[in-house]
Amino acid sequence: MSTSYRRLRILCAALGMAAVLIWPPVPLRAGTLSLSVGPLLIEFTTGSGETANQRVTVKNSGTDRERIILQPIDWRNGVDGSFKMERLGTEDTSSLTQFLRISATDVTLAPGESRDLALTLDLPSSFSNVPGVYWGGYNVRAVSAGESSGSFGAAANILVLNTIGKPKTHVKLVQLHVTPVGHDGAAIDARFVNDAVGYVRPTVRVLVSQGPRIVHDESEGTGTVFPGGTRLFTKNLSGLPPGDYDLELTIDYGGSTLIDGTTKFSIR
Amino acid sequence: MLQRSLTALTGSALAVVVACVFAAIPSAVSAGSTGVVSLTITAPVLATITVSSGTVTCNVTSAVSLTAPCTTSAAISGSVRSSFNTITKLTITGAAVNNSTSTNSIPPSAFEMTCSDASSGAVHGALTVANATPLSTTAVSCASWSSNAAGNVVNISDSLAFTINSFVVPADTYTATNWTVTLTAS
Repeated sequence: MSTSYRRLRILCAALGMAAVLIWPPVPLRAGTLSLSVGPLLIEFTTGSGETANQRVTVKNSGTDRERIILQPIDWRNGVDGSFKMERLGTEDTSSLTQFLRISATDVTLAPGESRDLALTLDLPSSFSNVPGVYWGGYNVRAVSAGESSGSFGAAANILVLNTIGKPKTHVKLVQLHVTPVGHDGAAIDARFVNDAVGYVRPTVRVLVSQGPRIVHDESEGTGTVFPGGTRLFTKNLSGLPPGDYDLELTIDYGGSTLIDGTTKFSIR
Repeated sequence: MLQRSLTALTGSALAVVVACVFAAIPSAVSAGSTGVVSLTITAPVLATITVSSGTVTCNVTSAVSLTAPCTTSAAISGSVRSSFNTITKLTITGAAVNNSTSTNSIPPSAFEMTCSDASSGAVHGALTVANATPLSTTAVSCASWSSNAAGNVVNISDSLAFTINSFVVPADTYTATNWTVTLTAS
């Protein structure tokens, strides 16, 4: 610890300020990092032995010089639909990342400057031609290239999916449960599984009726569900007067069928 | 569970590039003038994310409770246009906060984050924001717009607030760096 720093701490202690103080030890200008990236989602249909290209644009939208770093990632969506970035190799044979290339992985841009990068998917001829989906991507992170500094950096993820052939898509509803909450509410818990080999982005429709009267009709997407993946769908309802209700939950996964489940519940 | 065939109502897989081709075929009445109008619309998923990165300052000198508030001017702004049925999410990835000599360290889990959203936009799914959510070295959701049939088109405006668990922090002076705000449409 430097002498000046020790003196500073002693001064802070004398002023009764030194228990925990998080602040920059040297004066730094609080930074504003601004990053534009597009597209964030790329979908290829490239077979083994083939190559696909996509232009990716990164831009320094801020007022200071920025260094923009692109790192390959594996990723998947969790059971609640949340995106999870993973270490390379985590997705094993589902990972596309080892076959992705980008023309630059570290660029420094002046304020307002943009750069077009070439993202290439190059599948070797030894890659499986079995219909299915593979995925990977890049994390794009902006850091200050100048004196500006702060606690936070800005980043975005470019996600790449590749579908080979025409894989079968399907989901299976494995759980549907309603729990009364308070005097006028209900909590819906549904769980479904992608039991095919293609990815899906389902829409779930919740229809609640009391006798012939529909009291709630709402549709909501669930994001991407990969093969073998499970998705938990939850919905809280309120303002339900006492009585008996019918719930119909319908999943439109984009295939040739709709998946439908029904149950009954009561509010007392 | 009832499974029924309803081919007419099924959606289609997402395409990043939406190509719409409208062909105007002239009627027999105007057979003398043949015209074809072709229009291609490209609608990629785009985003701009701006992080106004003030420092995070937590002074627990007078704290007598477990949780002490921090002050920060950190704010997130920008815009996003994501496509059919994708979830749009702002996450914060924490990192250990060290003192100047790296002899003392605060884990990200000592901080709890609450996000306040003032974003605007008429087309988006339901919003969920973090409320006293512990930070982590992996991404923690700050604000999330659930997937929407028409996509999420949002002008982003979020502010961040933090508290710190004063009981697990060794007395010292620390600088918080390398926390990252990340935007994802998945």
